Amino acid sequence: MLTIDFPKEIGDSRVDSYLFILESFLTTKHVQLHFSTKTKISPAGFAILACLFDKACELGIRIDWNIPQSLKRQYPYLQQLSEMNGVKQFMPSVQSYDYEDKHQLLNVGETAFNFGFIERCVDKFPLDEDLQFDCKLILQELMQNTISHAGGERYYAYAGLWNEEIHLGILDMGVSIPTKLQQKYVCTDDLEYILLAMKEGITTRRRRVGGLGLTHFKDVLKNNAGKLTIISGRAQVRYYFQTRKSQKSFLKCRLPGTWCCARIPL
Amino acid sequence: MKIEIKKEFYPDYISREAGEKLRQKVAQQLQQGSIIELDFADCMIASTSFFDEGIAKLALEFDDVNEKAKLLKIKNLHRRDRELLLSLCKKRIFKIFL
Repeated sequence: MLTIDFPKEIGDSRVDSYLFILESFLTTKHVQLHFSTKTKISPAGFAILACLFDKACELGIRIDWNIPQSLKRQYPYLQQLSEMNGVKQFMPSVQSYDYEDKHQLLNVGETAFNFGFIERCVDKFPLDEDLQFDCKLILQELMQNTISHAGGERYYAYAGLWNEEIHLGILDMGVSIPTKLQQKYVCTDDLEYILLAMKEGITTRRRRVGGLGLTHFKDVLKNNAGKLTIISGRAQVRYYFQTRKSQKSFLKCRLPGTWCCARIPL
Repeated sequence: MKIEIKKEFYPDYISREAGEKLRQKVAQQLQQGSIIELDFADCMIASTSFFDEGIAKLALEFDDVNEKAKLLKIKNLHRRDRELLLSLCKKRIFKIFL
């Protein structure tokens, strides 16, 4: 049995620990997950937990949840996930992952657009018309990308308010950006592939050629002084447009899929 | 011919597939030399996929797209959608009248 301590903040910042969990799923059949009383879960964290749990179910891994009662009260979603644990070697229904509270929205989608989630996101949060437009554009472009390119069975869409920012994004466990682009382009490593994917006109689609989605995703966040994170394969790219800094690095473990996360100051 | 986007496409005025469907309808009218009106009333599109596939890519269908575009009338477009559509058409060297 493998025992894993979650970081104090579950979100899109420290992904290596989640990728380690995913990798460990391949070598163990029993995992014990520990949460501390001080654990905080950001909107991306809800989607990451759903993603990890779904993978564990798919691989038939037994999970023991060690969640303090106070944390269960603070985050009823942890209770919801731990109660789904009876399902073994079957992925739970996508509906069983749905979650909404005052500040968060989480939805697991299959191979089609979830129009309802996008509309709900735009209506739920106190956004001005421009921000509504930008959030809608981000979710739609990311959803289009995951449906068209990732080929995964499911995607995990989230939106929520956190520290005076709106966070939104789409995670998938399908084909990663580097793996997909290798069909058509030659780069030296996964980081180069992610940077290539963000350039206009880069696409592997044979019909309905486009290649605009990630470019506009980046532009919208740049215009809003937001933060962009793309994690795929063995690399991650982060842009902090307010401070004009970026981080481009390799990961210790591989993500079999793509996680795109956005943060916009309110 | 008039196409009310919300009526004909709701809820999908987002995807490239829906955009392709729109482009086929528009292209058919333009080919015949007929005026076509697209009414975007009560819609916030916010989709590069739909606009690129549905309208901007008309530039790939017609050598004289800027001439044909005079037959294309676009109404009630949201301010931000207008900016988005103009930028996408510009990339395809398509001078659209909005």
